[in-house]
Amino acid sequence: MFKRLRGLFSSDLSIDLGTANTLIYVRGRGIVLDEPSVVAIRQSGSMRSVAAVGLDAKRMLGRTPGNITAIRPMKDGVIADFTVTEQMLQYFIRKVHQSTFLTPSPRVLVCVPCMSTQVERRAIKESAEGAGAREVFLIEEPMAAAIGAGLPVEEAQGSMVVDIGGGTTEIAIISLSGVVYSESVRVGGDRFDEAITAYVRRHYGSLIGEATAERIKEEIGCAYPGGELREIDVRGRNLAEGVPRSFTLNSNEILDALQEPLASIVAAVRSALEQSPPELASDIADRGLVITGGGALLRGIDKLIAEESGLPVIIAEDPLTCVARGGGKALEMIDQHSFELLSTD
Amino acid sequence: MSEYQEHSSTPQTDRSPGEMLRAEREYQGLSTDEVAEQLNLRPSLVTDLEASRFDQIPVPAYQRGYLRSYARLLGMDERMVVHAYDRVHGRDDIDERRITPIQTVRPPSRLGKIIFRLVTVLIILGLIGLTLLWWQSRQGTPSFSEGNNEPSVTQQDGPSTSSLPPLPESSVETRGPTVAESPATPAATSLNQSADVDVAVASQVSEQAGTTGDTPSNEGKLQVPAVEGQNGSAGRAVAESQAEQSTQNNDPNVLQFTFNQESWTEVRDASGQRVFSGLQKAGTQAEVHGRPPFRMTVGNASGVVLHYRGETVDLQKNARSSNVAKFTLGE
Repeated sequence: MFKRLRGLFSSDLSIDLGTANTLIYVRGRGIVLDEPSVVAIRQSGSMRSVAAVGLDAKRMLGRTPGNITAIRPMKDGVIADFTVTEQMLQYFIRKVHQSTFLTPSPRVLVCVPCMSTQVERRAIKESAEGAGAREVFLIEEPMAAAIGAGLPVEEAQGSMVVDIGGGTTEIAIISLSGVVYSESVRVGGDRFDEAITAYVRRHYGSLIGEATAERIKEEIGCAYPGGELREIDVRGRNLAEGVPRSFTLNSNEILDALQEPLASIVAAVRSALEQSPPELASDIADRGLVITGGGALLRGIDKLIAEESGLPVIIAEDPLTCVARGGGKALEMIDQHSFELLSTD
Repeated sequence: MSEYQEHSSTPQTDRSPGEMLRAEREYQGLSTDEVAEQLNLRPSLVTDLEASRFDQIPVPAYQRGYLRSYARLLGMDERMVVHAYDRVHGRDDIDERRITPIQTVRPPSRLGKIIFRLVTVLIILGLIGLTLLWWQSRQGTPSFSEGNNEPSVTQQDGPSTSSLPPLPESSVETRGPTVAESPATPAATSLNQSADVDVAVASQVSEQAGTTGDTPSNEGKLQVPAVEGQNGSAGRAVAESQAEQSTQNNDPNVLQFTFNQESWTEVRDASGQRVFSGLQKAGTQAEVHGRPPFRMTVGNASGVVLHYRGETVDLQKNARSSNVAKFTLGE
């Protein structure tokens, strides 16, 4: 009852609860929040309190003293730490509703990986409810990504989406507002970072942190040979000497480092094409597939997938926000038709 | 956007996206087939794109996507091409227009929270206040009706009294100590004021007080209780004199109340009309006129003295455990 009252003062939200970043789309206002899904927990005695959330917490990653731990509560697209996720969501929802007086109680649409289990979905739903949501809808990530990319999901035509996120890569073939085939591999931006870290350790005998690996990926990472050669200076701790050393990496080395995770993505795309019904496969062959998510920003990823699959490949505009925007559009559609886009709980 | 326009030559900005792409492709010496092969598109689609014919591609998302892929292949700035496309076709997906650039929002302001809490508390306090006011007004309604009964009631609160002996018992009692401290003149004067009958008693008192006043001081202190006692007897004498006076007032239609303590009192006469009601303050007197029998409710009965037909009515006898006397008088 009181929740309903508070609902009058809150706007509907679409939340892309990602492994790497959480985005919130507010109905009528667009995307208002894009922050890393990181929570810093301060432990004093037996008391655990949230020290920082989002950007502030991300800066702490790997740089925390003993009593603070920076946690990424989402792992592989699903909740790894329930209570921390709830607190993070609560913080974000509050942050979005800065102007209202009452504690917000919005209707929330949360995107879930398509291969997540019922237990994982329930966990996400409950954590959103725990964060104060009045009503929680779940939508499968590739569906939201397809809507966000502007694909004709409601038509009787196959559309293929590859959403390369932080924790997972979601591949789905969508027709008539439903997911015909979906595939989720637990390879994403995090795996790219790990691969780069492992490569540097193997070839340079140096340890680099998560944040450095991410910076390398963003600046010189590429998925397809050719194009200009880029270089970056990196500092890491030399394992043999035990002191920080500086060295230079180039994009070809990173391409080499990323081979393995990229291969699993390509394999997943291929397997999706193999398993799709022939009519839809021909639609997709004609129109191509769309890449969304942070992984789409990796240089040459479209070329790689185009070459490996033989399909036209489009990188969605503003790929990072596709899922959140798609969720927002789905939220607007909820009122229009009782809604088959939403996943069943 | 301006920087892209600066980067490209001016005539290019006016051209359609297809023309821009074709110019660049020809400049790089590529054929449409080569482009189509690299993009995995049908060659006819590439020529359509260059001619800005989008019949084969009904969905705007794909139209824009292909143009961007093409532009990227040629190493052009894809945003420039998309802007050119937008100029021609507009954006049918207005939703995307509305999307504000990603920004981090300021953390929720503490001030708003404080103001909100304050406003809530004020509203709640206001409501409580209103409820109290309403409750009081509801309880106070009888006292408002007092005004209607005024003609039949004579409140005696001091010098304005006309007919009745002014000095109430209580005032005598309260003056007792003052009499003791300063030899009996005030008491004497007040008694003098009260009535002629009292004069003898008063002079007796003042004489006694005078004698005690003459004795040494420590002796005087010792004498104080005695004086008090004498004054007490004087008070009793006054009460008696009052009683004597009220015996004159043998009218069965008159009730005389003396309120030593605060009390809520209501009197209805034979006609059932309320002739007297309300919360009476301590130390006041009231005379009620009406036709007997009187039905009365006297709250805090132990603090009220009632005289009727020259007799003191024992309210305690009629009082219940709650110290409220409810009875009928003068049947």
